[in-house]
Amino acid sequence: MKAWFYPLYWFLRKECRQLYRNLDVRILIVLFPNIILLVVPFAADYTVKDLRVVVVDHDRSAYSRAACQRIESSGYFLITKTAPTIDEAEKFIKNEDADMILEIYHGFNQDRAGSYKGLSIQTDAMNAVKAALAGTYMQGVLADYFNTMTEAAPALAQIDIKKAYWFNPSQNYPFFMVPGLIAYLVTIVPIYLTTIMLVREKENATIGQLELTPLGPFRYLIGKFFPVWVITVVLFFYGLLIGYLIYGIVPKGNIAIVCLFLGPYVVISQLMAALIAYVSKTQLMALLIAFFFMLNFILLCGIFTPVSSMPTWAAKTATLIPVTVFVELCRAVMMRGTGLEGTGLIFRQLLMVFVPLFALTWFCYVYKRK
Amino acid sequence: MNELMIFAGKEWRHVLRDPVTLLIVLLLPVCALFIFGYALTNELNEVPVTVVDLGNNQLDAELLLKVNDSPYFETKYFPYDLRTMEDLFLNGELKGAIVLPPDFETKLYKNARPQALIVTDGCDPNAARQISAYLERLLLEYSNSLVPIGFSSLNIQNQMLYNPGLKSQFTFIPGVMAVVFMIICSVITAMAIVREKEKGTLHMMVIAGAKPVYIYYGKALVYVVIALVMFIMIQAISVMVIGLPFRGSVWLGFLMGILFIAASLSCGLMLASLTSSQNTILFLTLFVMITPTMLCTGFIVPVENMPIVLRWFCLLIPSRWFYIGMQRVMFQGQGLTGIWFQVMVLVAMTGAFTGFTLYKLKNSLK
Repeated sequence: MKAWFYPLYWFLRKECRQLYRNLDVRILIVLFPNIILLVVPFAADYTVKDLRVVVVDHDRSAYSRAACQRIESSGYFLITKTAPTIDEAEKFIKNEDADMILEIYHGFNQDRAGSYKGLSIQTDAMNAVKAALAGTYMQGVLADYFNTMTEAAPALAQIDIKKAYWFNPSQNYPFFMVPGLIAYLVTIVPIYLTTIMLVREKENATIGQLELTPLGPFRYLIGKFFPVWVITVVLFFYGLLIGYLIYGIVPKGNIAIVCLFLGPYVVISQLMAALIAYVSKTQLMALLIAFFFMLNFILLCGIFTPVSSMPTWAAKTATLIPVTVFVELCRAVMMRGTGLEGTGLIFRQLLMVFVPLFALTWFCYVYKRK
Repeated sequence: MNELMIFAGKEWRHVLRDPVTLLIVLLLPVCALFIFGYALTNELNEVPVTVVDLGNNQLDAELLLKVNDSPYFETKYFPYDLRTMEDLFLNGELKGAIVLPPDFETKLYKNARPQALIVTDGCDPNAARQISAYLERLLLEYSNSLVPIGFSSLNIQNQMLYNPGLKSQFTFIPGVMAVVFMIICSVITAMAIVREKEKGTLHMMVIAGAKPVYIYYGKALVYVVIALVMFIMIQAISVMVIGLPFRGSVWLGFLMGILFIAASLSCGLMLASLTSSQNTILFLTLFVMITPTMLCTGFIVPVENMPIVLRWFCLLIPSRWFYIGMQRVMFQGQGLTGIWFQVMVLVAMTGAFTGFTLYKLKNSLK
């Protein structure tokens, strides 16, 4: 038993020292997580607010002014400009000085029939989500205005609708971003670090020397994985700490559930890294491949673009990406307070990735070497 | 000029000798484009929602059908009470629900302003607001079809400019293009130079009498050509395969592309003049550069909502200017008058990067 651990001990010692000495690794461990955790949540605010409206008022009556006032007081819109003609207004849109044009025709308040022709809206639809929400808000505000202005209709809307936003009633963006970003960090950092540590050995041709030692492929991988694994776990708790200290995020559920998944999850990322390192000869190649994965991960993992709004096939593919699954787990436990019994699906999804990855790595590193 | 071409020729051979890296560099943006062209949308798509009827209303089955008909939603679960609904929300299997109180129907027919509750999983605030706005509209439309009162379903003509289909590709494709170009161009140029620095061959050439400026820009010349090929390829794919419109002048788009490539390459040259280790370059570009580039280009995160300091920072990112200019040319069909400022900024950035590089070269490699 001791004879088995002895080479591993020396190998681990070498790995730790190399990690410690490496300047780039320090950049990666210190700079990268802090950029992600301290800048991104402040920057990523998707709230659709202060939509800038250009009004083209052909009516110029007290009614049209009242309508404009109603629009401004709704809280979603700012009337920033007025223009005499629609062409003038469109210039504002082209220069990105406005998001929306509201055209009020002459005598718009005379017509009180249901389908309304006295007004028209034009929305800058370059950003599809914003345009869709802006349109919905505008329709709502104008409907409200006409309901209060028209004597025939009751003064209030027909149904008294209350809205509840569960799990995040204050609609706070960092609450939503930080758990996802922590999950992202504990994926990317081990992928990069492990890839670098493995490929460097190849590029410097020191792997040939290692093959001559009694260290087998299994212990070689353990020695490569373990220090990075520890760093990643520490990073996870650092992320939680930052989340608590800066954004005031207290996990709603039991954080032990995430920890339970964290260990095997980091290994999954490292197995991916081992495969990337296996196919690439140089660090440039390995990092370009890793970069490609990173780009896909960041856009498909549901941090910035919700998985629920992808086409069905893409959403299915996304669940094969371990980051997506882990982001979902972090959010479920930290925001909704999901218990262990609610994580069955996540466990199965992770297992589905783990088994082939493990088999493939085994095949590449252990089986093929014999 | 002759000297420049000699170094370009030398670099060209280097590139040809490493076909795998070249292939990765060429294929990476194309793959990214395909994935994002088809996978990324921001419109809701079959979000699991439900209608919970707390009483014995007759309406809920009909309302469910109506909700299910909408392309945004699907109904998979039919909880009877709030408790089961809560469990479904907790496990993330439901994202939204309309809750009807027992007296909803009677009050609606009596015109007594019934109450209703729309619950959404608020974890993702943006999605939650979208879901709740659409559900509200569905509910109002439905009740209005039963008891037509008021203007609750006002049909104001709403014209979506430039993007009538509300496709998210209009933001994602130019954005991904900008980010991938920026990273790849600066990474490969910088790597090509720093590799020679690390091996010491750069110094040998300098000692042999070559001017470092020619070495640097000769190498960059090759990557300009590769990047241009890549740019044309990507444009062709996004127009012909993904089906994005190209409303403006193609030449103007080409000009934007050349300027942006020049800016990214000169950024890479600047990095190369600052560092002497391949790893540092890789880590700088892939970690330190990618996050700000991703964030500040404006296609993932709306720039207008950022804190003011970050908005200023966004002005320093070349890909942001390319992104805006490209959108204006491709989708809005604007002419040179609409993008002159973006053009000027890119030129200025290229100039600044180049100036810095030349200054560094003058002082370092004597």
